[in-house]
Amino acid sequence: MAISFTLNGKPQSVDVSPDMPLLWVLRDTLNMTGTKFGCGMALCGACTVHINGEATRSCVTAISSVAGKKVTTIEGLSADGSHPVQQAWMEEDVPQCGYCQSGQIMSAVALLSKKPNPTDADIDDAMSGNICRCGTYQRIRKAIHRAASMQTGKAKSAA
Amino acid sequence: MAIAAVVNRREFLKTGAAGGVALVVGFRLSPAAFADQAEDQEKKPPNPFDAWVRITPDNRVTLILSKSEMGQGIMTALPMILAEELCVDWKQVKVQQAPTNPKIYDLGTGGSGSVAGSWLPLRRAGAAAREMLVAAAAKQWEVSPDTCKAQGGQVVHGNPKRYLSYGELVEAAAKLPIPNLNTVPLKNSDDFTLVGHDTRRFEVRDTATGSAKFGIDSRVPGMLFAVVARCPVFGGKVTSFDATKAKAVAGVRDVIQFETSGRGASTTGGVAVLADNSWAAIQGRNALEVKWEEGPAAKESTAELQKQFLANAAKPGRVLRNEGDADSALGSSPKKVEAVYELPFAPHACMEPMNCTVHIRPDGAEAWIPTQAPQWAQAVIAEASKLPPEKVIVHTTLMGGGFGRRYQADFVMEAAQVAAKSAGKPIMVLWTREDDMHHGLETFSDFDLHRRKVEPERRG
Repeated sequence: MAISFTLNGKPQSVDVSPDMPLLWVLRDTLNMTGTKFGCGMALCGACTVHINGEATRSCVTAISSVAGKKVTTIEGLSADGSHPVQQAWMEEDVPQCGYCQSGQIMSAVALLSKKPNPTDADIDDAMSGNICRCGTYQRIRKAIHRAASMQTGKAKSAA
Repeated sequence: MAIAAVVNRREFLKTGAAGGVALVVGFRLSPAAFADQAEDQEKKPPNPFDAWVRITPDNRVTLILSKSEMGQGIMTALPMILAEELCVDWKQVKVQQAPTNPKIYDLGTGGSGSVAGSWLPLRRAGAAAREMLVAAAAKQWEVSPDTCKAQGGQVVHGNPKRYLSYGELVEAAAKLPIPNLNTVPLKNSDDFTLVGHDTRRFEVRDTATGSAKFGIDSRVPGMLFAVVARCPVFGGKVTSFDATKAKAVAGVRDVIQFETSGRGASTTGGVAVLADNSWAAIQGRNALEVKWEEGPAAKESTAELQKQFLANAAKPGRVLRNEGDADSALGSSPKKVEAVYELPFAPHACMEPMNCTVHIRPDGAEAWIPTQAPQWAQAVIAEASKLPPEKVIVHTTLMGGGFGRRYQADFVMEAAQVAAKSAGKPIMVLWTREDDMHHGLETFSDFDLHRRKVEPERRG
C-alpha cells in the first residue's frame, strides 16, 4: 500500500513494506543517497533527517510512521549549499572523510532552530549522538557557532 | 636518456581524454618496466609517479588523482603540488580520479606515503607541463622561451604584455618533446603560492551538501543489493541451507551460495541474499536458515587465547637483541616493574560500512569500490570473472574512512564471487555494521599480549 508524506517540501508517495526504515526508502527506493547508513541501530547518527522539524534517526524509523509527515533530508536544506549551516561547514572546512557529515549537519540545523545561540554545552549535548570516526568535533562546534552568528546576523539585518 | 613516457602519453590520448585535446604528462616508474631506462639515468631511481595533467582548449585544467581519498585530504594535497608547478589558478582546477590502468598508474594508497612519495614526481610533472606550454607560446611568438613566463594558467611575454592561455597552447604543447624530468626547473619554495598556504578541501562542498558519492552511494541501473550470511566462526563453512523463508521476503530476488576463496583474496564463503533494496536483503538474510560446519576454531575463545598467550609469554621467546648481561643485572635493583600489556582484537570500524558494487558481463566487468587498492581489486575481479584484467574497470570512490581495512580485497572478492553468479546483474554487497564487527577476519588489529620486566639501573 502506498505511503504518502512530504519530502523536502514536495509530496512523495512510496509503495514499500510498511516496516521498511525511512533510511532505506530514501537511499534505495528514491536513490537519495545523501542520508547515510552507519549502524542501523540509531547509535551513530549518520542517518539523521528531520521529521516535522525534529532530528530523527531514519534507520530505525519505519516508513509507516512517516505517513502524512514532513521529512527533510540533507538534499532539502538548500539546492546549492547556501544554507547557513552548510556555508559554515565549508568555511570551517569541517569534514575529513565526510561520511558522517550529512547527519552532523541535520542535527546542527535542528539544534539551531531551537537554540539560535547555543553554548558549547548545548552543542555537546545536542550533538552527542552523532559519531565522527575522524574526530572533527572541534570544527563541528566552531561551525555551529559560526552558523549561529550568520543566522542571527541575518535576522538582525532583516529586522 | 630522458624518461619521456611516450607510450603512456599515446595510450592516454587514445583512451583517456574525455572531450578535446589533452596535454598529458605522465610517468610510471615501476622498477620492472623501466629497468633499462633506469640504468641510463641517475643511479637513484625516481619515485613512482602516476598523476596526470589535462588541459582542454576551453582552458579547463583537470588534474588526475591516482591516490584514494579517505579523509586524509589527498584529493586536495596532490593536485595542489601539481598546480603549484604548473602555475594555474586553483579555481581553474578540477580533480578526477585516475582510471584503473596498471600500465599507467600505481594506485595503492596506504602507509601515509602519498604526499611524501608524490612530492617530487608531481612537481616534476607539473613543471614539465609548464615548460612545454611556455615553449609552445615562445614558438608561436617567435621569441626565446627564457623571455616568457607562466602564471595563472597563461603564458605572458613582453612589454606591453601579451598573453596566451594554456587552453590556446595545449594542442601545440602536446606535440613538443617532454623535458628531462631530472633537470626540469622547479619553482623556488619562496615562490610557492599554493603549497604551504591554506587551501580548502576540494570535496568539501559535496560532503556539506550530501552530494559526495561514497562507494555505498553507487547506483547502477538494474542493480541488486546483497548481504551475505557468513559462518559465525572463522574458518567455518556452509553445510546446508534452506532459502524458502528468505525468498518469501518481499523484494528478495535470489539466494546464492558461494565458496571460500583463497585465490587473489581470501573470503569466508557463505550465502548471499539478493534483493531490490538493502533492507529486503537484510530481512532475507535474517530469515535464512543455514547449517554451518564451524570447524576447529569453534573451540577458541578470547579467554582461551589469553591463557595460551600468557603461558607463551612465560616461556623464553626468540631473542631479538641481547646486549650486556641482563640475567645477572636483574634482581639487583630495589625497584622492580613487571607488567602484562594486552591489546584486544579490534575492528577498523570505518564509518562507511564495507561495500563493493560489481557488474560482470560476458565482455567485461565494471566495479565501484571504496578501495585503497584499486589495482588489487581489479586483479581480484579478473580472477573471479575469468576476464583479463584489462577488461575490468574499477571506479575508485570516496571512502568513509579507510584505515588500511580498505587496502584489503576480501570484500571485493566476495562481491565479485556473488556478481559472477548473478547472471550479469550489477550487485552491491553491503556489509551491515554487525558484519563489520564479526567478519573483519584477518584485518582485525591483532590480539597482543606483552610481558615486560624492567628494573631501573642503580646509580652511584
